[in-house]
Amino acid sequence: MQSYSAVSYRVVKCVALFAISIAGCQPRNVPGERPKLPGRYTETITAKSGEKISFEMVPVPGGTFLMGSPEGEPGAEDNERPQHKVCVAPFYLCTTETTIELFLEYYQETMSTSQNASYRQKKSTGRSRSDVDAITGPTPVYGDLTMGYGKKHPAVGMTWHNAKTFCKWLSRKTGREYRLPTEAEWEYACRAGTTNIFGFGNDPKRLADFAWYEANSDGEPHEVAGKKPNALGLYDMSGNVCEWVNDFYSPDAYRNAAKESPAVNPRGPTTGSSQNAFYRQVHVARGGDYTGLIEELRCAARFFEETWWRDGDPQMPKSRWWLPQMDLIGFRIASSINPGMLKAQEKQNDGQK
Amino acid sequence: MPETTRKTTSRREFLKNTGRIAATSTLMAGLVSRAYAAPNNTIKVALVGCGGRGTGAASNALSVKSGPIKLVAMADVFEDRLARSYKALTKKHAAQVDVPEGRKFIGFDAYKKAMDCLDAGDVAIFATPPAFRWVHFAYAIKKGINVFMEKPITVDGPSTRKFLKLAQESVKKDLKVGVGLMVRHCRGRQELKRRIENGEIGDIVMMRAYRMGGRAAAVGPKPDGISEILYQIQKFHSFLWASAGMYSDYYIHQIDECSWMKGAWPVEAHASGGRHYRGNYVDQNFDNYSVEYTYPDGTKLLYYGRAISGCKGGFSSYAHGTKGSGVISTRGHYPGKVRTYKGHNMTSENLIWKVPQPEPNPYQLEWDDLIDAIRKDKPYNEAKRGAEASLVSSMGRMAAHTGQIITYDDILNCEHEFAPDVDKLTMDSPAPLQAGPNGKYPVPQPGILKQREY
Repeated sequence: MQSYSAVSYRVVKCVALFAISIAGCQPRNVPGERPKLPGRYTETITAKSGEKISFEMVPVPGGTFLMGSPEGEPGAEDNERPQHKVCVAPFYLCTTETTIELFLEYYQETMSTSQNASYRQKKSTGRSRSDVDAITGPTPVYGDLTMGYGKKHPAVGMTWHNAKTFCKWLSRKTGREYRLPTEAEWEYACRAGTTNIFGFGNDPKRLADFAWYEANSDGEPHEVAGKKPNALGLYDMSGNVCEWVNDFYSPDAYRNAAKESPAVNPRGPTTGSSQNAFYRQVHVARGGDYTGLIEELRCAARFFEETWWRDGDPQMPKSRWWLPQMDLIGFRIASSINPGMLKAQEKQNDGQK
Repeated sequence: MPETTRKTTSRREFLKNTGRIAATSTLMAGLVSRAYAAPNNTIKVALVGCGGRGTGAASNALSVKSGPIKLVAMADVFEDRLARSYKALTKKHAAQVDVPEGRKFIGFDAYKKAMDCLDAGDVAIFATPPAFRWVHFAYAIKKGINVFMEKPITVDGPSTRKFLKLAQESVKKDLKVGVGLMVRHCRGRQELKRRIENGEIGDIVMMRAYRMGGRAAAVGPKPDGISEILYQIQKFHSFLWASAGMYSDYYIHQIDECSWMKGAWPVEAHASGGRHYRGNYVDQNFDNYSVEYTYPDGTKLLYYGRAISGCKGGFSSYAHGTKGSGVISTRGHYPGKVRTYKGHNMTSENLIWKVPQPEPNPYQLEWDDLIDAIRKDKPYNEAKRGAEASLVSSMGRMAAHTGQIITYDDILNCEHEFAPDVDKLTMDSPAPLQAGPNGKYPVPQPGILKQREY
């Protein structure tokens, strides 16, 4: 890892000193004038036990950026190229990876066994379908959902499908639409307006200030927000656990996205790479994890589900919900900022004045 | 276009290389004894018990790279499970699944019909609830068929006594028998065992293991539309006769791995446990178990099992020696991430050794090892060891369920046989366990029932 020398970055810097403009694009789905960005907010849910669980959402201003790695970036892979212009509408992103505390609440409220499924059905009679009780959540986890980690550690070992279902549950629980970020949104937020390799700069020596990775993690994920945040106030974008994003994975995704310039709010390919059946259903994860080498913590580095992620699952078909003992993978939630919501918030703000 | 990332490249290369090593042994397989691989060198497999784990085991079998192997017959008591299993296996291993309708068998005698499709030297997979292991194993021995069987393999004292006899017979016939305690095949744990034997952490004076998570193996009353016997088989983790209970099914791996590291089986167990939030659940399991196992030299394994949501979780095993300590399981069976430390504070400064990551998949290794033994005609029989692991699991469970100290001899000679006529069951049989007038099944009563668990 020490061979990843700072010298090679000088070359990169020159290439990367490409002007990007945060305000350079008017996303198509935000008509009219560029809206004023709302502030950050704290969402608090009440667990069934009465405990309060909070998380913080920060606004990410819309804009255009260069997605992928420039020619010559050390450690870059082919699937990160070509670097291409992408325009992203403003959105909210959670400051931290989803915690075990919050994920456990979802699990306990929605876990599906034949037992409580029928119970839920009875209970929800006469209620609207949007009731949180109507969500069929994960089957019981094999082993221990927390994997022995504490409640402020990132939730780990869920499939993409499980992470999506969590978002559905959280949306119904809070009345606000939560979702996974798109791959473009994720990288845009990770870069936070910079054009450098890691988001905070190009010097891998500073990685330990911002990320849990191979050199400092002691072989396990750590509590969220234990390191410095990036310029947007987002913690652990690099390292700790890899984060599911909404897009299918294809090594050609960027070549296709680059056909449009800029690509506006790209959502990735419609299925995964078609080389075999398994990879058709594979999604992207970003950010690297606690075992990550320096090059895997680059803003541009891409990951995706691999067959061995399910090696700990001795069943077949493999679980739709769990990647047993896979403590490398978690997720972070996003939320769209739509004009209606903006107005509502402005009204609220005005009311408070 | 390489469809991969850096880390995963190394992982994939690594797996590829493992495959290559296995492939080398294929070339040699044709030259050695034909007695234990079928004459045409294709090993035929029959799957008995087509649930998720049986199907997974069959998939592992079909993934062994050391020579041709195919699935030829399937058996289950549930038609839909068999159909689901067939579909999943065909999807992944189309060229190796040769199971026409005529070789799909449903019913309590389906195991015989499935094994009748095999020849001596082929392999049967037993992945039904453990209650049926001895029945199926007896038939395999009669037919000279090699076996892979899921754990546990016995459920109580009497079924263990039967099984130990069968194990002896299978050794005499030189059958190759694998038992699904895959941790024994984990290369990291094997290296840890060598290091412990070489004195890296001194003599083991204490071990502890944890299997704590949310609600598990619990079940509500039988719904309409399914017979009592089939309900109990379907929900086998909930019924002691069928599965040996959550205790044995969930905890056997860690009891086995600790005893392996210690180099002995425990001679007695002293335990507690209870039922807390039962609601509408009617299974026979406790919600928590705390067990003190004693080894012949007086040292202990402390085992903690809990299935209560909202409590601290854990899925790990540790050994403490006179010079240091070792991690046998970090957070589950795979990856093991085994390590050794100076002293008992398991910090990075005290680290002596840790197994390199990534690790190969033990669920595949246990099959690679079994098929390798079959093709090369190497002695390979885990039946006795598996029965002993099952027995000491039952020992701890009985200690908790009765509230008494249970010795190895107590459990081995215990007269309470949960399902004595399991070999005679048919679709119309009454279930081996009957619910009381309140619709609830009998459960353990520590301090009241002392000689039997319910």
